[in-house]
Amino acid sequence: MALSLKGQMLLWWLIGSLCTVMFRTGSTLERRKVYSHILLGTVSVTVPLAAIAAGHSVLSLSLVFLLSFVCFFVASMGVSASILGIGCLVVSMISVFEPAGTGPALMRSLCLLGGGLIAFWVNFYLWPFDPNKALLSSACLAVEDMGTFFDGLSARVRNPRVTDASLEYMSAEAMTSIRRYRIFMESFNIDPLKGSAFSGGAGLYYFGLIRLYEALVGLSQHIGFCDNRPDFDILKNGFDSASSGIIEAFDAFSGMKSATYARPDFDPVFSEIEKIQNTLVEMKGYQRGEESQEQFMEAWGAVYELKSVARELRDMMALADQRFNLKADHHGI
Amino acid sequence: MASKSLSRLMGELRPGSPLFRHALRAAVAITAAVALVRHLDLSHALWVPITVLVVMRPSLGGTLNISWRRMAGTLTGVILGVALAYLRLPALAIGGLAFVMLFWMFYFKDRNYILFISFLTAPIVLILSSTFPQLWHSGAERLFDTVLGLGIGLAAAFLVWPNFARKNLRKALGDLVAAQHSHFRELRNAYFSDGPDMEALLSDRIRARTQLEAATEKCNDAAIEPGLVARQRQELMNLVDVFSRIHGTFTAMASIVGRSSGGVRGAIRPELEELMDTIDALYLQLEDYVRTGEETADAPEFKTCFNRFMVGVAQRRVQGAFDGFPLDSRNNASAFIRQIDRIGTGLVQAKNGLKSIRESR
Repeated sequence: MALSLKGQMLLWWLIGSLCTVMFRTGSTLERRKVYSHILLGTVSVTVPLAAIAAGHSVLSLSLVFLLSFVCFFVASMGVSASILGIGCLVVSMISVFEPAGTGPALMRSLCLLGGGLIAFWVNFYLWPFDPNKALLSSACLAVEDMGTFFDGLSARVRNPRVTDASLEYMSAEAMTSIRRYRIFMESFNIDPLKGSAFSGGAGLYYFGLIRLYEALVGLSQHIGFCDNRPDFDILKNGFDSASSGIIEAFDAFSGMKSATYARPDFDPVFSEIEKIQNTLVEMKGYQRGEESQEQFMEAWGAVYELKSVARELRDMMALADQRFNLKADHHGI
Repeated sequence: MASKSLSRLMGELRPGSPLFRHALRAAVAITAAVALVRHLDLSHALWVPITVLVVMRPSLGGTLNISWRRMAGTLTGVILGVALAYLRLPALAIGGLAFVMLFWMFYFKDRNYILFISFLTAPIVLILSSTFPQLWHSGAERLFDTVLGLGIGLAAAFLVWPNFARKNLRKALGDLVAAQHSHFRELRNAYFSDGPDMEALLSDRIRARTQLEAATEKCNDAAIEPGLVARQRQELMNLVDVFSRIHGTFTAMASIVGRSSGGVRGAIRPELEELMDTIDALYLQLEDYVRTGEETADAPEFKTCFNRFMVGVAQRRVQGAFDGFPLDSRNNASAFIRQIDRIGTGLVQAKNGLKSIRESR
């Protein structure tokens, strides 16, 4: 019996730790601490109540009804309130299915608090996230995802069978990574929208990521520029050559996680793009009638956005060096 | 901030509030699940109420949407778990497999709900299979509890103040059109400004994105509810695609706006402003149509306006009017015009899609 009681207490100790970890919420570190306290405080009251009520059928069902109603109703206060409500309901329901007298119920509450506070201490004090490490790692992931998106786009130019759905998937993955970077910033009390590439500030690198993503989406809008146009093969080849330079730059940049990377030289990429522009000028699209007009506009759009991607990637590398104190070795692509 | 949240909460505490009804519906379902579990004396008492908790969504369509995916995921996970259990692997191998599957569970958490549930169910079934007399018992129990939970959740969604997602669709789409229109205006102003406020533009785009996600969820939920014909369901999905594409165009436009300065954009400003007035009129017309179902505002035919604009620009180009401007500036204007064309075309498609949904009734 003593062993079983010990096992029960250990279980509640574990539940306290788990619920603190699983139902973490809040957009900043300070808020996360406050919400963890609220959750632990609430469950330490509802769990013994549920354990005592569990012995009485009507009483326990009334308590479940009340807790469920509150759990869903507080959703109007925001996502955090909703998560806390769900956490509280789940933990209380475990107690509803395990009736106990007043003494063991209160003991259950103490164990919950004990387990929860240990998890809290580990989470926020003993082993907290290193903001810079977490940000660098998520920044690197965002760059990698954008590199994959760019890879997909350049493959689409060569092969029209690359589907829009797969490009959309890559675009969504890249956006999710940028969003993750923003969420990390918020969780470290850094306002991502404070500052910009022009004015400096905390959001410096975040805006760099956003601008690169915008340029990639811009490129994706014109990516079918040479479909069914054999006379555009020369453009396609030029595009291919310039984009392979950019892909190599993306690859080099994804080494930023190790705090050093080979800084690529973008001059060959820009001169390749200039060659495509000159070819396009010489083709005199506007003199070819209305039918060609649209496709020439697409081609100009694609080249313009390709140049934007190269520029943004170059600028972002400089921002990353500044933001994360990276050491870039200067090499040609 | 806390008092604001509290007053919002008190404002919802009335029988007519959708949130109040949703909370009541969910509370009834969860309480019924707990009562039934006790009555049947099931060994894993929590599984049923937790299934109910997870599938209860504010709208009937939302509940249907998540229910079928949970069912599919559980079924796949049970099959996988039971199949692995029949291999009678040593405890260490079972532990290793469970670890691998939990890794995939976390991987699919925000990516694919069916796979997330599959990789959650399979290790549970695999580990518990050793505690049952027959290897398939744990799988059967998990499946039974899930079916019971889904049944209770769906019954409550259908019977307790059912809330059809399509009832709120008009408002959600109207808000989306308004948010996109406002963002278009911001982009328009920023394009002609010499120092565009890119931070404000980004905040505004995030707002428009939030509206897009809310409307997408409503459309997805409405499309699965009973009462719509197949064509209407398809058109709803097409509508989501059109609005997502327009949002993508906004993202691309921001890149162009950030690099715009002087040059060609100034030389063709009157014509470009006129073209953008057409987009404004299209947005106003679309918003009216979405919210009221009536075409109250007049809007010119977009393609005619666009073609007229392009003919004008082409004539000036042939005359060499833009030759003095740098290539980058010309390309910037050209890319911007291309995006305007996309937005206009998208708005016309959205209007036609909405018309088709209404006419299919």
